[in-house]
Amino acid sequence: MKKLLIILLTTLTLFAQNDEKLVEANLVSEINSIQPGSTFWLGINLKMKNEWHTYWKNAGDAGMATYINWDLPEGFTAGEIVWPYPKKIYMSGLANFGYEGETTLLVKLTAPQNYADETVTIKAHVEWLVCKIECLPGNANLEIALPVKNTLPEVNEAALEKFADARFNIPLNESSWKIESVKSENEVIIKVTPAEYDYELTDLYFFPSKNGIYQNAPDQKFELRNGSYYLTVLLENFRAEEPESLDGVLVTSQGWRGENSEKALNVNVEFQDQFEVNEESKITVLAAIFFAFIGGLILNLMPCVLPVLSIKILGFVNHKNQSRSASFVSGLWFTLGVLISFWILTTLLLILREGGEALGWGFQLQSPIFIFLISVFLFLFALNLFGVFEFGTSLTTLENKIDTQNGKFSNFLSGVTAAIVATPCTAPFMGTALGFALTQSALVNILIFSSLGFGMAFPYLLLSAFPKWMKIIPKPGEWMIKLKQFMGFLLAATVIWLIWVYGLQKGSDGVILLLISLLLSSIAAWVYGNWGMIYIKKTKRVTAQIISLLIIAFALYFGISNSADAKTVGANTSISSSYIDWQKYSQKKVDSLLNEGKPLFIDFTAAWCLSCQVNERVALNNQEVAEKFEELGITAFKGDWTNKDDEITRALASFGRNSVPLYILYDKESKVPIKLPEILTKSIVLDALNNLNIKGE
Amino acid sequence: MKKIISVLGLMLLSLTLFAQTAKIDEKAPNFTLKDSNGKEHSLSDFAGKYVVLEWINYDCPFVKKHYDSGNMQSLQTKYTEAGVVWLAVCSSVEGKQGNFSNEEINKRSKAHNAAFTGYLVDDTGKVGKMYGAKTTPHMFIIDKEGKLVYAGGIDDKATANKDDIKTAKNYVSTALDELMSGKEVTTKVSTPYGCSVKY
Repeated sequence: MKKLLIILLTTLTLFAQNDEKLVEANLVSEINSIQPGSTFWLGINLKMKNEWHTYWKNAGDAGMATYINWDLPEGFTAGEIVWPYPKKIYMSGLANFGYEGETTLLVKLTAPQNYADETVTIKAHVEWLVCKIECLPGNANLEIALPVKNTLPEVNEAALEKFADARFNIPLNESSWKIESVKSENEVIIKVTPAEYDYELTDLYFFPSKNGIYQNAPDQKFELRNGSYYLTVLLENFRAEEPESLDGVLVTSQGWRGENSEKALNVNVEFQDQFEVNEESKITVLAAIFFAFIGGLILNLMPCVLPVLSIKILGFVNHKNQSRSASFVSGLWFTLGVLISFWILTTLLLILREGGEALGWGFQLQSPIFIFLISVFLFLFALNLFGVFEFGTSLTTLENKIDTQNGKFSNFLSGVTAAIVATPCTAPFMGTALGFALTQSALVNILIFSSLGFGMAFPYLLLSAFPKWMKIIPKPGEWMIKLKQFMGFLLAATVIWLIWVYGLQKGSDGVILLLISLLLSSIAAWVYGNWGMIYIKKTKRVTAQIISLLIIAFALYFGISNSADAKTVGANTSISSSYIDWQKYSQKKVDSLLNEGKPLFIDFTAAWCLSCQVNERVALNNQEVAEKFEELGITAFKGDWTNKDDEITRALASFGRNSVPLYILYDKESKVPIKLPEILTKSIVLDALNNLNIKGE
Repeated sequence: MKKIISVLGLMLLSLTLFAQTAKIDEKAPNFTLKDSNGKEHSLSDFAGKYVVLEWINYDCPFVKKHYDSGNMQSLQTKYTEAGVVWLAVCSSVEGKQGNFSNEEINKRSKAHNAAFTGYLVDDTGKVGKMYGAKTTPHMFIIDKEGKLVYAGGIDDKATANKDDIKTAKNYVSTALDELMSGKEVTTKVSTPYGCSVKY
């Protein structure tokens, strides 16, 4: 019997010694007494022998989290362990998450309202696995006795530092940093964007809450781009489950609330399909309104609008002596015509978008019917300026009627005309700015477009308010007719461009049909101009007018039915004869290349977008860029938005845009898109590519 | 022509690279190792049979949990009798815990009444890394067609406490029973637990 006892005792002491050597566990209280009905914190303080470690809640590739089994007096409850953030412990190809040195695991307990005894004894059975290379399980039965007092408890000075240390290392639950995450087949990318801090993070590490989802051992790739930090974490090949959200702790040695603050942050964010792209320059709404106004002013110089404006101004020359107030009223009517047209267009666009149509600014030009109608309209307008025919009151009311209702109406109508002829010019030149507007609220949209319209009408309005300024213009005469005719050529040039766009939408057959329609229209104009004018005898005149109307109607019907029926040809014709081997944009292809870690470039463009065309000719389509693409193994995609294309509209939206141009570059092994500026030069493109090259080495 | 050859070469290279990591529902990569009696075995030798790979380290407390309780031996006995090939694989490299001489291995195996088909010595860790073995134990099951159909822990109670075995759900026996009754394995992957493999 005695012998047995000795054996038992020696084994016990052996165990105890063994434990003592590797882990010293203590139960500590933050306070010196317990108040019934209150909550209080206890800590399991673990001191590990040098080079040995115990484990975090997720132990990593191997190991086991420390476990507490409480033995509490009646009525007491204990919460979950609150874990300080761990350290990554790397061991030949595997990694564990745990604690070396000393750590304190905190637990919040609640005392019952009615507790009669003078002292309370709390017991905890703690189990752990302690490892260096080898592992040993250990355990301890710990207990603490505390007096029960119905007064506010005093702080336990002896444990103060342990609790303070532990609390500092407990992950924060909230921060002002924006955390986003995207999951693909083999990896998860975490994007961290600072809200208010100006210090830089030099490191970042993600500790997943659960094991078996992420690879623990490989380094996590850390990058800084466009003011955001990116961390790439590889997913485990054998995954017990597919995660829906990023769940874990993000640790940086700099701290999340300013430098040297708490280093760990709890994160639990759902995976997104794609990151929102940072807007490099966020323009304020006020600035946007201002720029829209300037844009409107400039619009007056565009080939589609200049004829309208100059003819309106010429109208003044004929009426220099008109009273100031009457002239101002006509200016206001003109302005109203412009504004209302823009409002209708904007509202139409907003309603269509609300209805789920994937449209952006320039949507008018994606419609072949619109291109067709505006081509015919501008062509007739040009013929009018050439003098082939004239209206009783000309299309842009050259002869401003001074005081009749008709005068007001014709002023209004010429405002509408100006706005309509302006649309094909706003899209190519101001698509980007107006695209920005579309990301804003409906009210902001209306404001921005109103400002654009107001800017467009402003020069005329100003002149109508100060008709005396017109005195600097020479006396009316032959020169006015010559100028008018010249303006006709500007319109004809605009028509050429529209025919080209139409050709990309409808192919060469479409172009022929449009040209035939234009020919018919010109015949109608010629008939009208020769036999339909006011000074021709009535019967003859009316017959001529009816004939020309019939011809126009036929031309329009012919063209419109063709626009609706003709098969849409791929706009890829615009990418032939190119140095770069462009591929048609396909979300599937892009995704699979990204998954393989291949670099790629996407050019979002449209035939009717002039800055896109210029960028392609000036910056992209040359041998140097093409060679660089080939050297870096970059696959080049062209997303052609000339026609309505939902896939491309969605792709644009995923980059926070709904207009072209947009240039996106992906580095190899990186799913972080780099946005190039809207105005490209060869050196901008080459610089961006060279930067990739350096990064890639 | 040159281009085609280099492309073909690249394809072959990537194929061999692929072959070197085990993936669930794909062909398990082949390997050849010596057992504790010096005899060579290749995975391909066992084509047409179910094969269980058990990563082992006799000094690891988690391995002890399953051997001291007799849990592992009873699984080995039950399934080897049913025709399953059960291979214990030790990837402890020289100088690390669990790396023993063949005599020591056989002595310990006998002391435990181990009933596996063989104890394979992977003292370079090559096969362990090929299969992504992380812990001891870490269990893999290969079906008759040579496809990897299970990778993960032995059961769902990640502790070193013997008492937990009774209440734990054993993933390996569940998967083997499913396979033998012609069913698809329901849990193909679980998170393994144990000591780290001593690479």
